[in-house]
Amino acid sequence: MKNKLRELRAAKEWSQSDLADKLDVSRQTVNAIETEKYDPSLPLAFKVARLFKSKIEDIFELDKD
Amino acid sequence: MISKHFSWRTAWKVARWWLAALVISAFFDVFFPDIKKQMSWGWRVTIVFVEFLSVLLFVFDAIKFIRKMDELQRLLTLTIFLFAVSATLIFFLLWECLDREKFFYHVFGISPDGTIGWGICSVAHVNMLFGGFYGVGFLIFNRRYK
Repeated sequence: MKNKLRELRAAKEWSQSDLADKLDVSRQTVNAIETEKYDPSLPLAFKVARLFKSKIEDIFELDKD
Repeated sequence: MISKHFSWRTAWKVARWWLAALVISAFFDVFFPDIKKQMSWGWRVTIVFVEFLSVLLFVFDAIKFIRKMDELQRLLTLTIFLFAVSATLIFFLLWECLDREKFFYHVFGISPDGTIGWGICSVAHVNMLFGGFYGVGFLIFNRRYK
């Protein structure tokens, strides 16, 4: 799954630790999502979308293959 | 109260009972088994219960810690726990089965305690194995998410 988390975070000038604190997860989790090594659960994806005032599908995109 | 984020203080709070079981068992089962042999039946049974109570308290603390983790940490830690428990069980059973067939006696001769048995049936041995395999699992499974 692709995502725009890194761009959205950069636009807000937040560090990974800042974002991790806001989402109540570890920095390791934020990094793993940004580098697309880990797909977040639905509740966490909703949290991310709410934080950036976007829809889930605007941030996360399912790979075509 | 166990904190959500990793720190040495948190690690100590989770591992203290594991360490207590290890120290008690290492003292009575590995280094000074003669002291235990000279004790009354009641004391020997009490030591066994104390060792297993410590292991049980460790399991409760570990569960409390895992429940507070975020989803990726929980996934990783549960994977590592499963790996460590499975590896410990397989190693322990293999060792004990080989020892029952006197494999180690034929290869290495008399064991350090002067008998033909090379058994590792003690809380100290199992805890050491679990700790070692947990470390190996930590290195393997955390590598991808560094």
